[in-house]
Amino acid sequence: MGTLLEVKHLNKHFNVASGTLFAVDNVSFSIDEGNTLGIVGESGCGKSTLGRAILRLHEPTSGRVIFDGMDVTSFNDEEMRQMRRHMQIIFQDPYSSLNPRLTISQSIEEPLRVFQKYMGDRERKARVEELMELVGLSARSYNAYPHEFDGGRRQRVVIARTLAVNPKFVVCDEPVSALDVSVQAQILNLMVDLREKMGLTYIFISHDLSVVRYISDNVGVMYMGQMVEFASKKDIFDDPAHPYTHALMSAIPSIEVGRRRMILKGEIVSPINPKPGCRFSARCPFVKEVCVARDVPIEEIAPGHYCACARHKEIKGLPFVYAN
Amino acid sequence: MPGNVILEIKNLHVYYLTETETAKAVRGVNLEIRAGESVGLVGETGAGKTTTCLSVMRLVPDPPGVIVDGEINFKGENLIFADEKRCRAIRGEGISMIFQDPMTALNPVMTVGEQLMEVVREHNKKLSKAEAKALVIRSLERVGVKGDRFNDYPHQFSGGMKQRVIITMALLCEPELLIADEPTTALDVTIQAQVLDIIRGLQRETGASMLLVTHDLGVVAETCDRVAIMYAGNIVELGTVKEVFRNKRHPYTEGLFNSIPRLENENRRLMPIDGLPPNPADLPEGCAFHPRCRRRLPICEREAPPMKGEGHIYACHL
Repeated sequence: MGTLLEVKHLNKHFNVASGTLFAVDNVSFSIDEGNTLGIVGESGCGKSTLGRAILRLHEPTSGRVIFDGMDVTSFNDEEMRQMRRHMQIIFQDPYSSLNPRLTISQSIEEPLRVFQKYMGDRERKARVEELMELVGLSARSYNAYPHEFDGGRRQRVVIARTLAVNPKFVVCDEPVSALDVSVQAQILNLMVDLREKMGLTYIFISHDLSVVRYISDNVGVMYMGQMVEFASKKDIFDDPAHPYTHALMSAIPSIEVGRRRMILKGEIVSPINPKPGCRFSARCPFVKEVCVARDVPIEEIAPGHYCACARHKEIKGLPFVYAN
Repeated sequence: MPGNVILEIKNLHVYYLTETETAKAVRGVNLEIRAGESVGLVGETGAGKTTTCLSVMRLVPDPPGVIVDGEINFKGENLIFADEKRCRAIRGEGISMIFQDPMTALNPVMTVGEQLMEVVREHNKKLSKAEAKALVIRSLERVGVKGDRFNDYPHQFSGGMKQRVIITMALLCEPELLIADEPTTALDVTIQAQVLDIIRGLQRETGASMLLVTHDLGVVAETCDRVAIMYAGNIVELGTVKEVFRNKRHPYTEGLFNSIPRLENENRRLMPIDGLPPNPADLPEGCAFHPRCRRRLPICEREAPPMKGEGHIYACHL
């Protein structure tokens, strides 16, 4: 299948009191139709800002977003509004993304009232019921309010609302992070089923690598606003090239008893006015002069495998230890 | 190796009473913690994990919370009957607690140093100011916070650094039992790894026992000796981490494990537990898990299951 979304040199900078915050810094990638791209990284790495900048919920500072062959960054407000029918978003917190004064059916039908103005009342009601069934909500809850629902069912309402206009592309911004594990698994299964059924393309933003591995085809790893590695799921998990990807995977507690792991030193430094050179160099055990001398661009190191590390060839296979 | 029983929770019942309903948050928890061991307490939101910890600290908000039955024996002393003065003496030196959210656990208008000094001087009135300050700085450096941050305010610290300060605070008086209520849930994974490493190291160094509350089975696997799985106010399975993780006996434990996407094997469809955790004010008859259980029997709907097994115990009719 063809490319559905192409992001080219996207930047989103915020001006703050102490300088410029590089929230998204020169990020490029593309997604094929029907595929899911997982974006992982820690808080503050710019993954949510990236998702929002693609939908122009944050106006990008520069760069292009090509959706279905159209440059949406050149659209005016009305054109963009029409485009949103095809590009939707699911937010992290189902407690704050539903209007508490609307019944769930009113929430689900709102996009229909906006985008399908000539739909009759009866037809619209039938469509809402169809959507509720699609996401596993019983018809009894048609007139319920969000406060009557727990997080999992609220997230189902949010998903139904998102899908009401038959989008092609959905940005999922940590959609299961606020849920308990048993409910999280229900929602993940639902999202996978809907992807197959409706041919959806997802960008799935999460800090949880195991969730990303479960749902994605390709994975992008972000660190301080930059994409540091981008590859197929298999390459990222079996053959990671960037030291940060290694560290991230190693940091996740595993339910396999007795696994060893390494621990990264230091903390994420501020993305405000960053120093030139690799952003990860301050925490990287393999840092050399070449890493701090100049910015390290992301380059293709194997077919479909991109990595922004100046020393990825030299350090391949080396044990991840800190010299004291 | 684990020594004497230091904390014994016996048949603990804690209810939250409101005008309209009674939420049975904890319903008959039995748990022993031995000197030097670390026990994980795992369950979903509302399972009663935090209420159990707060009961041990005697910090259950009252009203509406009431400890209606049970014993909490700390080194042979039943804390339920301890008066406020005795409780204060035990908190800090005997039992100490780390709370989940490092952003709200520190006082924003006091420097970190002052807050830590306060703890030391409250519990050890003989120390001079200079001695207390030296102790605080030494303790901060032990968890990797530089001593020159003594005069900084909490907002000048990152989340991981704040949690280190809170760990320092909890360990300043060298407690024999540390209760850590989701100490890393609010942190990023790489920072979580650092903080868990610090907690483990300190626990080994001081020989303290630990009760670690979490919803993350991975954290338990890497940190604990034994694990207790909680559901609807009860411990449904308890055993060493190895036994429980390799040989899950309770259907709820099994369901929890099947709900977690694993890094190791991809593409396996998740098998979530059907339905939702019950409302603690309106619990089902019999086994509290039966409405969600795939293997339920007619008896599960009528009778609460007994605890079975030795060492590795579980509450199930099967």
